[in-house]
Amino acid sequence: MPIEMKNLISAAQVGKAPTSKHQAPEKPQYPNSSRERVLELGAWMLVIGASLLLLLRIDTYAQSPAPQPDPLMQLMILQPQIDVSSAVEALAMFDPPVIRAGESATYRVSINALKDSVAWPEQIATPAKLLIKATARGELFSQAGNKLKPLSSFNHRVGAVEPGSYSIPGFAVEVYGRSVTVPAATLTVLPKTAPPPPASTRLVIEPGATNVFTGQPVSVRVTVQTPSGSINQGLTQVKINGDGFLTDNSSARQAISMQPHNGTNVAVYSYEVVLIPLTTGPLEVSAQGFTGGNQFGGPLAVQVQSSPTGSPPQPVLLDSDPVTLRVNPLPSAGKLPGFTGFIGTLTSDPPVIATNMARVGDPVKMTVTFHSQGSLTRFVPPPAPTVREWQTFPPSPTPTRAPNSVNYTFTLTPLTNGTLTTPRIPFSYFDPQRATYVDLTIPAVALFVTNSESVVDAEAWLLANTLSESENNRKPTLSPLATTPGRTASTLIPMQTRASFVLMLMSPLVVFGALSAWDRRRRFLEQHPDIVRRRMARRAFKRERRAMEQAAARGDAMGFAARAVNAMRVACAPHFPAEPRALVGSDVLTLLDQASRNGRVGEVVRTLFAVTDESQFGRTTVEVEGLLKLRTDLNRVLDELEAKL
Amino acid sequence: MPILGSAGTTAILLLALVVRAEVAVGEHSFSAGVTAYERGDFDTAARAFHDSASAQPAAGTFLNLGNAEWKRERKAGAILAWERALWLNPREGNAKTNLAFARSTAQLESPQLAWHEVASTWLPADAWVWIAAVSLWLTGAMLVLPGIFRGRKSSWHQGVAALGLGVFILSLPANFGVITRSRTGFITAMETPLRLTPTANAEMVTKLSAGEPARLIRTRGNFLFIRTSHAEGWVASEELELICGR
Repeated sequence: MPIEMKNLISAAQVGKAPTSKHQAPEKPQYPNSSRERVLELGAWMLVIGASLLLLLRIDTYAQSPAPQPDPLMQLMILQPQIDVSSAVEALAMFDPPVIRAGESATYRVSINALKDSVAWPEQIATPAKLLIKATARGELFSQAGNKLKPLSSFNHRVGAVEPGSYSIPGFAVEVYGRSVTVPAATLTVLPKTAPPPPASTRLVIEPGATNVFTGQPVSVRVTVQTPSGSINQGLTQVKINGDGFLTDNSSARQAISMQPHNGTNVAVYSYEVVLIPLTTGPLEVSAQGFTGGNQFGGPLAVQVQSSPTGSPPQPVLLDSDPVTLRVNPLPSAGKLPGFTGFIGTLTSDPPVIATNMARVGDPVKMTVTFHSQGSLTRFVPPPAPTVREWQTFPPSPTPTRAPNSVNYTFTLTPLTNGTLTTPRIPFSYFDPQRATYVDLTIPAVALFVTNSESVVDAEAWLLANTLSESENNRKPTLSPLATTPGRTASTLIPMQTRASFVLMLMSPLVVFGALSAWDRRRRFLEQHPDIVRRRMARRAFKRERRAMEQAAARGDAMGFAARAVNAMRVACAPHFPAEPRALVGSDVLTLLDQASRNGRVGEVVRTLFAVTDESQFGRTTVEVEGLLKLRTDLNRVLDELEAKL
Repeated sequence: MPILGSAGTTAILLLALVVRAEVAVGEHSFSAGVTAYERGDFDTAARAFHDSASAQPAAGTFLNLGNAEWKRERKAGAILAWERALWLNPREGNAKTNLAFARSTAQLESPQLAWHEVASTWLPADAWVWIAAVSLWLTGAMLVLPGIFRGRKSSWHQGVAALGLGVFILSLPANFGVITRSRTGFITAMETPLRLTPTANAEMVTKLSAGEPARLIRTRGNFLFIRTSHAEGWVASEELELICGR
């Protein structure tokens, strides 16, 4: 805004007359009305309020609570400390201490220290005839006051063929960096014929099947075998030892059930878990676990009348003799589509579709339930195939209350309208009992898909159902052999892809084109007969001239003259036009120019015509002497006539 | 044979002998294949039918070859043989039945055909050539010959010419369908990797089942760029067999 204009406005606001000159800045004019004062007061209050809020906000930030401590760290802090300060003691024993020759016992060393802190030797010095093999090692913590007391056990399987007393002398192991002495232990081996000594508590591992396939879940049962046969304690920290398989710990369960033992039923503790072999060949599997007394880690299924009392905890590491699983590879022959790795027995219910009528683009839910006698925890459903009429999505599990069953829902979106069937979903599993793949393809389900909001035609839907049933009933089979080869072909490559195809199409066009051109030429000649006459005259002229040359060559003067006259007549005929035989010498001379006509050329023409006329019509002998000498002049005449032809 | 001369006569005789020998080999192999198949020796039967088909391609031979391959549990080979039987004779009902059976069992799709390709399956591939050629010749003859022979062009001449031209035009899509359908092939190996680039160590897009149909788009070296119903990528040339061979 110009300065003058500003002055004018400010002067008008204060009620003064405007001046044309520049004025010094005036003092600010304060509002004098009450309304303006209220507004100004409100503005100041707003400013103060905002400042207070800002200060509060800053204060809020300043007083934010301290960060929460890490729950895991808190849990670790709350855990009782592990007792690593107590005096470390080692205990060695044979279990049982007395066996017969050929039997085995367990050489067990227990140390009240962490397992990882014990530098256990790879080999232990033993008597020469005592066979020893490391079998298990484990670690257990027990509550002692406000601390956890560790207990590590190292088991070895020992045995001897000959009776005697076998002592493993004391030896030193390093624990927490200090040397700890493992005391000596003695095993007494009785002759084979001796009465059986008292047995010890041992673990027994029993696989559900020993001849299995890769990936086949194998249920393994671990039981505690006591001398009395009855249960007196459970197991904790059960572990399956071996290589080449996967232990499905989610399937582990323990139970106490009645089992026959020496003619009576006794309560037996058992621990079951599922193994999945991953490699082929023989796999050695063994079990280990600490006796837990009357304490059972985890849920326990009690299938006996009286509740188990058990005994106080006496943690002893037990281990079983190994069992061998023979793992076979899955056969590649006969593998069916849709195999997702399930091995066992499986059934499925017919697919249930959420609706029988849908619109294009609306997702349709199809639920399929699978049942199995075994575990379905690792069941992988078949993926929906990619087809033209449907958009398919991966199946999702849905909860089911039925035991040993899983539900999967396939989401399918129709892309076209009409009577459709859901895509058949290939699926198969491997039945280890029959050693074959079994087809469990999810069948197609018919539904009517419309692309409009209108009511679906019921008749079309009924027709769809009818067609679907008839199609399902009509299963195709392999046809018999053909008895004859049938019509043979030279090659499978179609003629359309070869250059001969175009040639084959175009060749008649060439023929018809040529015929048409010939016809046009023919019609042209019919309209211009002089061309034909001249062409014929040229041919006849050449023929007569050739004959004339031949007659001259053989000295036939009369023949020479006759052929020369014929040639001149033929050459002159198209100009008149006339029949060549009707022409006379004067007709020929007419075509020559004046000089030729009166000169030597004219004389030659007249002479030849006279001689030939005389020979044809005269009675005297024709003088032919010197006719052949006219040859040169005659050729000149003929050249001239040919040029005019 | 004064026109052909002795060299031409000899060449024709040699050609006739070769053709006759191929026919004899084909017939003998076919019979041997049938015999081997009936006694359950499917390996020998497949070999014999293959020899017969190589010497003398025929729909019946390919049908039997497909049956033998199926018995040998070579689904891709069986599907390819039956497709070839249909290629030579689209009315070979047994091949259609077997293909439906195989695709139902192996859960495989049939090739996706455009409308002109569907039309091309109504008749054998070579029949469409003759239809196109004869209709075109007929049209040309009706237009040209009456004038050449000084005959009067009557209405039936024009009618036949129009009919011939119409048939020729209608046969063109089918002929085009034969050309495009000849680039249809089938995966020969189980779980064939479909690769992103034409190299052996390229990233795998997906795996294709044996017998799955694919369309050959282009070739680069030893690799073929193919398109299936749900993916496209590169496969090694030996992993795809075209319906009409290469």
